[in-house]
Amino acid sequence: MLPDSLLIYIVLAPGLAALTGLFHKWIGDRIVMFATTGVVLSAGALSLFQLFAYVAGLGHAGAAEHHAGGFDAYLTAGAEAAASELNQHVIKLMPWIHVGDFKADWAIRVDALSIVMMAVITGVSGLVHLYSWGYMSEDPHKARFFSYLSLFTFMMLMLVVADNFIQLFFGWEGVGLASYLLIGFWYTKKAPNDASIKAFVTNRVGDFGLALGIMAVFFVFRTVEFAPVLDAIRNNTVVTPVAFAEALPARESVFVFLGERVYALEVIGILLFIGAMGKSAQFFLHVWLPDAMEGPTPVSALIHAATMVTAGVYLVCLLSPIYEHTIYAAGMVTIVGAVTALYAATVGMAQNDIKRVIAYSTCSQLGYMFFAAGVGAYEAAMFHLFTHAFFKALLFLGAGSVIHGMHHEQDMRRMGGLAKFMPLTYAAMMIGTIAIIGLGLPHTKFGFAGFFSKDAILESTFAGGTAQIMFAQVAFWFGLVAAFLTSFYSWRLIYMTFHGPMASAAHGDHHHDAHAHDAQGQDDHGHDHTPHESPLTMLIPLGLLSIGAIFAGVYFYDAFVEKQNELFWAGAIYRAAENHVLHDRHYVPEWVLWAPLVVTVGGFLIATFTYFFNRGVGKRVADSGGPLHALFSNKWYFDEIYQATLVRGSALLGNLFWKADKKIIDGIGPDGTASLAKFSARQLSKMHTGYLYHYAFVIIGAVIVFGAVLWLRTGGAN
Amino acid sequence: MMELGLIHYLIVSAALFTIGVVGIFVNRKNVIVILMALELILLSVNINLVAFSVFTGTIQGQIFAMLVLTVAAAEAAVGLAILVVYFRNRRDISVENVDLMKG
Repeated sequence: MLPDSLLIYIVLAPGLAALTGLFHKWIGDRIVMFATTGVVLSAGALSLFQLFAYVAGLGHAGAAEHHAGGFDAYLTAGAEAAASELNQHVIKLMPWIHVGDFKADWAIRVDALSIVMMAVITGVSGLVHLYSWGYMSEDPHKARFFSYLSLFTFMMLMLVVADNFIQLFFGWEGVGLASYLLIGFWYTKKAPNDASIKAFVTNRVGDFGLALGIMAVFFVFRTVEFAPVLDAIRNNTVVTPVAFAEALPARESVFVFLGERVYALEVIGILLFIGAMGKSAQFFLHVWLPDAMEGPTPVSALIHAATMVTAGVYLVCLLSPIYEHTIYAAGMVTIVGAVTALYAATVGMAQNDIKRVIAYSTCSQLGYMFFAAGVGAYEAAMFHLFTHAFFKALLFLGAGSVIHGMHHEQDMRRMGGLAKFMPLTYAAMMIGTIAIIGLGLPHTKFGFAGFFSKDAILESTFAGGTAQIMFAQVAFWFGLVAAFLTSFYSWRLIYMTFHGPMASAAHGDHHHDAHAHDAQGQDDHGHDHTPHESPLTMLIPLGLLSIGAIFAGVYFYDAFVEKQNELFWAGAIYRAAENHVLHDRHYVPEWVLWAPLVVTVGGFLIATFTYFFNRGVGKRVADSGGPLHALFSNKWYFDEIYQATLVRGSALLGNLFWKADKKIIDGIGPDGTASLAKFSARQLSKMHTGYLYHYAFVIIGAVIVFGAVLWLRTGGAN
Repeated sequence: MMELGLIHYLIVSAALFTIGVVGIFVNRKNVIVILMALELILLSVNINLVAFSVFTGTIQGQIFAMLVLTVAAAEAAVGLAILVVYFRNRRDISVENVDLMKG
């Protein structure tokens, strides 16, 4: 185990490195870039070392036949053993808020979940920092970019190492802020600004649910720290909610809402999941994610593929005791995840912007993670989160390399035949694609990363369906269809981009105005317009991520979801006694194992037929304007519907309140008082004639009146 | 032959005071008249003071009257000086036109 000082370094150093950006005027861009990249890369190396050391330690501890042996052995190497059965090692940094029962500290919680998340975050972030050296080389605001990236890394780490809901919320909002700043990084253009506001506002909707959920947790459990809350649910201890006399076991505690008694856990689970939906771009709250692609591509890879959007999945897995003991909240997680997986995959088929295709793919994969968590296969969800981070970051960085090589062209219809110009990028994208479609042979260990995690999810979901878990059957079929679509659109992307004739060569100009997503000053760069391979700083991250995309699945399969998973998670993820979907997946029918492979190959064949051998087919389908294609390419008209209802509705409502405020409240309140004072002052000042004798009259009159009053008061004539 | 009592002095004093006050208000012509009216008011007060002093057999009233005379003289001097300067600037000292203090 890493010593505490190194853990503190991993979490806090990126935040300090981000601060160097404030001084870039004096120290220059270079130092900021070196500081941030160096710090995050070293943190990434440490976190990955920690993960590997932890997994390697499992083998020895496994012999001890101790339930939480892995973590205990792991802990004894470090500091004192954790008190809770959650097997956490918590480093308290400093107290933050202590008000009565309400206690929130700055802390670093180390358990299996946070070890995995730390490795993903700092690992991908380090590579993205490095990649940005090449990708952002022509940008005039490098210092700002790098310090935002490090700020994001810091906030995300704060989120995953929190030991209470309040620090989690801090990190949650912090990554939202960093995401907003980075989407709108090219702030001189309208589209990125709109996209950043859209992302921020949509996330506020989710955060509203999250905040209410946290309040509900405090209401029921009288604490916001994870350990006591989760322990209470695991052991079903009696809790007394605030303002309620009746004490009930944690799993049966109720709220009284509109005269109805509702299970508190269900309410908490649904509210917290709404927060997760916002951050993880799930159905209804997904609209911001595709638009977020207006940001620089490294940002898309880091924030909108590998790390931030998975925060929702992390939250659901972290709170597995809640979702294990709820029916409807877990069912909601499952169905929302399943619908998102299918929905995003259908939309991904019909997009032409290379980054948008991958964005919808991310959305879809997040759906997989959620329905896995919903049916109870949290380990599989975390596993998919882990492998997905590698191959999705790889795909995004590969797309970024294509965009860089094509001089900021993102429309796939203007690409083609790039394989011979940028062979290394092509290879990386191929690996990413094979990983995301989950190619691999059942019953063997031959397969790319996505194969292990996605098949674990689908099998567990099928097992869940057999066990009559709510919506699991639906989720399995949706997931299977989505797997087919994933294969189709991923190969479509490869064929449109790298194969066939070079479409953009025919164009004299390369449509900077509509599709250039770069800062000003890009148009006058001197080089010619043939595509070129990217510099080494961009290829190294691609290479390293490719290794992850190939081997992350097979290497960590045993630890995450197979033989050693109890040891590995060591209580960080909780399963109810009656939940064995992860185990039951070994007993699913044979066809369930082969079905993903069959649909994947099917998608590959159809994509090859339509986009490789008959390149015109896709274009003809798009041009014929069928209703299905229109539905998909317009994202099921979500933006239009939201524009017409929510955006216009809130604009109308806001307008109404604004007018009411202006006319009624201001009219009577501040403005009314002010104009009254002004009016009366004007009237009074008319008495101020300027004639001496008027003043003298007033003086004498006053003397007489006051004299008379005094005289009368002292007894008058008597 | 009627004996002159305190009351007669007070009547004269009250009459002078009233003339002074009315002089201030009724006068619309020039500021010098206002100064004269003020002078009348102060004199009426002096007559009061001296009359009470004589009739009560005490000296304080008369001493106070001397002080009032001094103040009145000073006031007249300062007032006239202001008027002279004012006239130099405005070429006019009629009361209607002295309204620069208007709000």
